[in-house]
Amino acid sequence: MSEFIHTEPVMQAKKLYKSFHDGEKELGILKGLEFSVYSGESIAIIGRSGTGKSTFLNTLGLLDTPTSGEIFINGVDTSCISDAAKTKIRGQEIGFVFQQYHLFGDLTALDNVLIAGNFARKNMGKKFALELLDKVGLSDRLKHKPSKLSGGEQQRVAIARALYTDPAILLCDEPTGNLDPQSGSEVMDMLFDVVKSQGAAMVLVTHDKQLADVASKSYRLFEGVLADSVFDPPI
Amino acid sequence: MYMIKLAWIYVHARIINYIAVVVVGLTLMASIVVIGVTDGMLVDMERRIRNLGEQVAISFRTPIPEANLSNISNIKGVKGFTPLIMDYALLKHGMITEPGVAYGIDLKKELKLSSIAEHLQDIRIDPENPEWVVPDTDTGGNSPAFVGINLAERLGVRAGDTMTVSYSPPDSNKLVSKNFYVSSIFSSGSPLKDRNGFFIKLDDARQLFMTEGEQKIKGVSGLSFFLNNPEEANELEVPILKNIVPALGLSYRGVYSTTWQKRWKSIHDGMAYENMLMEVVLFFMNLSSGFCVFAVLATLASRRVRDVGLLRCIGAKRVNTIGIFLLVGLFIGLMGVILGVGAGYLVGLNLSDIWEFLTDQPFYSPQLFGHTSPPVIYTWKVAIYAGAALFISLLSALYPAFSAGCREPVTALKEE
Repeated sequence: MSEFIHTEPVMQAKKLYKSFHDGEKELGILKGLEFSVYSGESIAIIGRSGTGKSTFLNTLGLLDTPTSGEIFINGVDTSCISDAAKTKIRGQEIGFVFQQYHLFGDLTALDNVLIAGNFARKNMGKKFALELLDKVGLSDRLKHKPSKLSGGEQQRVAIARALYTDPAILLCDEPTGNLDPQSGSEVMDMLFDVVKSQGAAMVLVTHDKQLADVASKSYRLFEGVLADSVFDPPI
Repeated sequence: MYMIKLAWIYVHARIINYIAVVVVGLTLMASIVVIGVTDGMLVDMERRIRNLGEQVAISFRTPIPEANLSNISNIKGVKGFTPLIMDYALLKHGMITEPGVAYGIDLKKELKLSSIAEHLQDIRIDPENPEWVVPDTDTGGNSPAFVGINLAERLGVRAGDTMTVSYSPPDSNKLVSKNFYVSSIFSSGSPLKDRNGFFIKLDDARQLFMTEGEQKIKGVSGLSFFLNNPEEANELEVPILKNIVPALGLSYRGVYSTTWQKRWKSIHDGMAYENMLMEVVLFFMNLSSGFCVFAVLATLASRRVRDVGLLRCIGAKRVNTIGIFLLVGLFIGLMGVILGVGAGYLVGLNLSDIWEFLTDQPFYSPQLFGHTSPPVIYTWKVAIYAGAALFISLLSALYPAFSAGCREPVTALKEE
């Protein structure tokens, strides 16, 4: 249970549908999904490969457009706003952490963090970037480019970048998927700590049941809707 | 700031981008050099045409008294005029006889307006105290003459030789002859003067070509007008005529005029046409360098799709991502322009030396052409070519930039 008192969800999805067309065949991924997350909450989404976890996360993060349904972020209905407004929300309210880290290979660790504030037009200053990198244990790797960093270190840079704009929501797509158990554990501990200290909401997509248990809530994505994680779907 | 930084990084990320810079630069350099050479030739041709020659020539059927010339008032755009007596004669030296064109001139006035002094090979004339011959030279009592280099070669005369000029007046069978001392050979580059022309004093021309009555009034049969801007010759021809005809008490019948532009129109137009064709060819060269930039940027955009997705993910607008690739095009264009302008000036201004170093032959052989024709590089033309190269680079970047910038973030992120 969350320790915070919630009045309004920071992110809410209502009757979310997402389908893809495979020739004439329509493939439904999300089927009227309902979801909400409050500040300070961490929600884990688990499910088998191909169930649409990443699609769900991308749709929540306004990277993808739902076929129908509404997504509210801080009370704003994103289904009826412009692409530029969505971009602004994405930059200022949402932080992304991906399995593949997705860092700019030509920029240093510090620049990879600072660039987020620059394009989101929410510059929090170099000092804050340095604090974040220090918090994720990379104060001695500021000038290193991603190619000179280990997978765990790269993911920590990605976390620092995601947190730099002080987002209301952090969307993490299998953040430990490419890391060894030790590094994965370190990254997750840090992620939970940092999110807790910043009071952000976190939605975490993972295959790791143990990791899901650490979150304040966990859901299983099954046949396009969210079910309680204790429910085991038939194979 | 990161837009510029990323664009700058992308420019330096792959060697092929430098190749695009070099292609833009080489094309611009070639444009500057080629246009510099053709402009140099055009300028040189105009200079040769105008050398020793008037820009507006007026001739009279009946000679007019030289004294009347003082009635001519100042004409706007006209630097000045000189009296002239021009006629055709036979020149004889030894066994050789050649036809030639005599130009009777007032050397002192001519020196103030024309470039005659620059082309004399055997004598250096003091403009303040002009002399037709080197002081203390024994001319054998003959009048001096300057002979065109090609005419002199055909006649076999050199400075110091004597030649005979003969003239047959139209109304007489009598041949009037006079010996002249060749005090200098001139080489002006003007085919008209160099091939057939020779200069003599006004008084000597009068003795040869005019009747006694005409000699008494100190007649002149023509005027050479020199203009502040020779390019305005055609425009000033009529105003000059309108001024001098009443001033000299003449009627328009029997007064003939022409300009250097009319005289050499076909050659001048041909050269200008050649220049224009060259510019069209160079435009297509610049366009092909644009295709190179296009290809490079299309490759870059396809290789940086994931970055585009990531940028969109962290809040970059479409215009930001498009802007980054446009900036790459701009940087490639700018670097190419800097390279091209620098190399263009360097090569253009030292073309003869470079050519000679590479081929052991002068680029524009004075032996063949009688003079050199250095390239003329106009700054305004360089600015136009540089601007066009930059514009074409930017234009070539448009499609790759838009195709990259308009990718949906989710699909862009999935591409590796």
